[in-house]
Amino acid sequence: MLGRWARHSIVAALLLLLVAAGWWQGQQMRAGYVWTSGPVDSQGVAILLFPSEESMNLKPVVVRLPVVAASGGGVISEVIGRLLAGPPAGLYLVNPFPAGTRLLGWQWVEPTQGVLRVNLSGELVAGHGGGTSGELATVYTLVDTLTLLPGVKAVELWVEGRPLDTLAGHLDLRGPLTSDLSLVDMVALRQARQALMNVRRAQLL
Amino acid sequence: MPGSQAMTSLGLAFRRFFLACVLTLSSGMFLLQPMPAAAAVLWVAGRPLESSVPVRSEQGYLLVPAAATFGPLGIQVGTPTPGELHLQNADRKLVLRLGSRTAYLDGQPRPLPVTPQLAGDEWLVPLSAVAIALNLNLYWDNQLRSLQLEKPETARAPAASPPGSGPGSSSSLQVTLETAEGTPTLLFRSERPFSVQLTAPAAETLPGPAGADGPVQRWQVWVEGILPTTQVALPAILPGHWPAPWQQVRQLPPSSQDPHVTGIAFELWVQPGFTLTGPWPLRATAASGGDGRYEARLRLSRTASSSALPPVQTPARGTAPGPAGPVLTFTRRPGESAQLTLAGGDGHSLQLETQVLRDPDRLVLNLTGWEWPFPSQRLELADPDFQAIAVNPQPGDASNAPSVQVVLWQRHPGWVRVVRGTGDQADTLFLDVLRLVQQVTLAMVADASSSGAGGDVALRVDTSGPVRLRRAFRLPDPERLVLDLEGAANPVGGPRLQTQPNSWVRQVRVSQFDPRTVRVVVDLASPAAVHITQSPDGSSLMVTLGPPAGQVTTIDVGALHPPDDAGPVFLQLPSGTEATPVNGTASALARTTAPPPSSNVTQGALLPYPPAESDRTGASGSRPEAQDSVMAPAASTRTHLKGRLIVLDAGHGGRDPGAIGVNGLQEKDVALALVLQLQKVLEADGARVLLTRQDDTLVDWAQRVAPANLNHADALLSIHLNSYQGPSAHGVETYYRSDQAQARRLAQALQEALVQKLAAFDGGARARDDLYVVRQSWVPAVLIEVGYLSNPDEAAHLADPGYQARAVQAIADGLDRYFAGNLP
Repeated sequence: MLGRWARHSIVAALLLLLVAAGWWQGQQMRAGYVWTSGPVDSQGVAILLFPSEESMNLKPVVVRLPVVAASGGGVISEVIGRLLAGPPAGLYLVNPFPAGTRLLGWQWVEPTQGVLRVNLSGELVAGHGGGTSGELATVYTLVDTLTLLPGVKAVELWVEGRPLDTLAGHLDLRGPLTSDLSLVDMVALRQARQALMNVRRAQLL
Repeated sequence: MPGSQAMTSLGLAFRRFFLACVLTLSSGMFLLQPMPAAAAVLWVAGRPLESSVPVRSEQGYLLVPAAATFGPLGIQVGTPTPGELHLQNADRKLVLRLGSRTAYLDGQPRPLPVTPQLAGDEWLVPLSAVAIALNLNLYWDNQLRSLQLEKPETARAPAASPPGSGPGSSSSLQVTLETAEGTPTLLFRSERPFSVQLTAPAAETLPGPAGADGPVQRWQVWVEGILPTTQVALPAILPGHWPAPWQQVRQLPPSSQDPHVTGIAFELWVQPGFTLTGPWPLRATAASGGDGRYEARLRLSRTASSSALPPVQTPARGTAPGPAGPVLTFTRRPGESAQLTLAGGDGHSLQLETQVLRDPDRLVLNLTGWEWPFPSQRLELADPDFQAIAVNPQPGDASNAPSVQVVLWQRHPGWVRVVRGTGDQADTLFLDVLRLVQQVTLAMVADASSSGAGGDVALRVDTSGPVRLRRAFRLPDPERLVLDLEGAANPVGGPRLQTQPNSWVRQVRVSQFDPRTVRVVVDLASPAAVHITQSPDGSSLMVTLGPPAGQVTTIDVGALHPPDDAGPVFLQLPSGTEATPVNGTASALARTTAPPPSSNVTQGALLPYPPAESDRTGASGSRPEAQDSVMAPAASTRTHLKGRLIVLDAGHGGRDPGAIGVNGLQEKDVALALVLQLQKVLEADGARVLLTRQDDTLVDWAQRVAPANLNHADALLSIHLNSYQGPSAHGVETYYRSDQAQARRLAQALQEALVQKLAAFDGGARARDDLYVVRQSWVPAVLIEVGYLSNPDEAAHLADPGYQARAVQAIADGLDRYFAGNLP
């Protein structure tokens, strides 16, 4: 039987460990990203996906969102804004959106069914470099990232307030798209989700 | 969470396959097959759709009245709340909302191609999307020229008759049309023995059914031994669409509910000039066929005893018969022109505008000054040149007078010469189909008649019939003159004329440029002035070459003018440009209305096929012809391509350049160059090749898949060049649809061949269901990304003709291996 002090000290040590882990993760957050992360978070952390520089493969990046954005629809605007701004430098990731592409708005097509309509500016089409890979990168960066958010099941892409048939002539965009995880680095995404759980635990403490 | 998302993704991919099939059906049909509105576009459960609300086409998708369409299939159609339509079958529930492009199948969102609409109280819903969601069979029947909507086979309850209700309780009766030994025959088949007898032995002559004109013969046939409750499969052909000489076959309702009735009555309608013959008279007992089924035949023969064929006259008349009403009569006497007579109007005030459309080949006549107060209708014709005729009234508006559109579908490609009668034949149009010319011969005329300074020579191009000089243009480096003769078909690897050494011509090559066009390329020894003259009958071209006088080519298109016209017209074009000399001229002719009084038949116009141009950029510098000498066809070892129909689709085009390489190379140009070279290679190997575009034009998505789908091609290859946001991405990728095993094998064969021959990085054969071309194709289809234009090394390779030629050979090898079938 351990003494009372011993039990207390074990609990205290565990708590300390968790707090330390949380602090470490928090430091990573403040640095802008961590390589590992989790899905959605009410605490202002989200996973973004960006295409790898060398081939069409989406890699997760965890970002901390401003507290004000962390509730309700603010998260969606914030996440799309971060996507359009491109990935953090130094991660061998590329920005799949043509320069100057802006978010004109978004709306729930069917809130209860989770179809999100995202309306982007005309630069998306006018400045797009084409190619099947290039088109997949742009479209699924948006779709796969947004469908990681809670409540988003499918994404409809509009440009300048109009539905889009195709972005670069290959993908059929008539109608909402659901996520395509075959384009995502799933090992990294799993790690990211695990890490996000840790962050959340740390924050709860 | 990942599991459920993967499931959703899988499910969606699966459903998209069906969506792909049927969306193509509807869009393809409307693109290529504009149907008269009144002809039933849609059949539901084996019957034409019956609804007061017409089927509508929006953006190429069919919108159909929901209750009338899906009700007969046992689907509950209801609107529990305003603005929401619920469609429910045994295991699925689909919810559509007004104005929303998203539907919910058992709560899951799925896209709709167009939004549902209201027409009065009736909901109009996108047919294909709903049919797929509810797991219904929807297919295009090319012979009936209509869409067929049915419950899937497994869901069709065979228990149409109560069990144990006597003979024929579990049997079916199948009625089909066939032609046995050249005789049109109606065949009855059943699992049970039966007999057929005529209850009205003498044919009565009665007024025709709605949509027909004149008397037809009507026979009643009693099939004894088949219960009234038996499921009867009649030929699913619309009244009015029956192939001659049949007019209609329909089942008569049972005269009583008496359970002892053991037969079914049919009514046969036969067009004038035909009668039924044996095994006859009165009664024929079904003989047992080889497969344990019983069958009986009714044969038709002509009533006319003389050997001369009577004129087959197929009049079309509206549903309101009357002596004063207009009548459109199509008449053909053997060996003569087809005649179209438009009675019931003032022939002299008639204005005629004509168009020839392709795929399928059809002649469209727009008639103003003649009225058709009846609904649209279409009739099948028993004519060697024309398959069917349709009449569509076009209501006028503030700016346009009402007109009538007459569409004639041709049985084979060729020009149609429309000649308008004069005098008392002012209301008659004579139609001649000029079939594709089969033979092209070349000859050098050593000393042309115009013996100008420097010793002119002339090249004579003779064809076995009239052809149209669709375009003529010159290309520099080396100097070439290219003539496209439309309306001509030449055997693969046509003649090559090696001329005596002379100062102007090195050699002349002939090739089949597309199924209708022969291309003659004259390799010039030195820059020359070119003068082209076509003989009046259009069967001979004289190309005169002489000393350059300002690099001018003249084309004499006098042949295409009416004989009494004021002489030839010359078009001049400088080197490197092209002209389409006759198009405008002939169209203008066809529109001419006032007939000169002198002769009985005066106006003739060879109607040109419109060049397939929707978005021609006109830039000649990057023309694909510039690369036509790149391929030096090596001796081929490919033996499995012979007779295969392959559709090649060059990605992008026109105002859509596709990806632009780091070296400025444009995807549309490279893709087209590859496709044109590939066409030559495949044709040399004996394959038939169709192109979705053959020049710098932008082609609709639907037009990229329709040629493959409608011609049941063996493969559809969409050729693209890739691009990515990062410069290091490189390699070859081939995409296919995940549910097409054949397409996967095709993709793997092509991918392997390309990687091997180009020594390129293997990006893999990848399944994707969201790429339009592979998604909408019924035939094995792949999208090939030959390389990355965003990668500097690959962009440089792709600009190299040698690399392109290797890619072409690799694709041909891959196709050969796929057709050989020796794949895992």
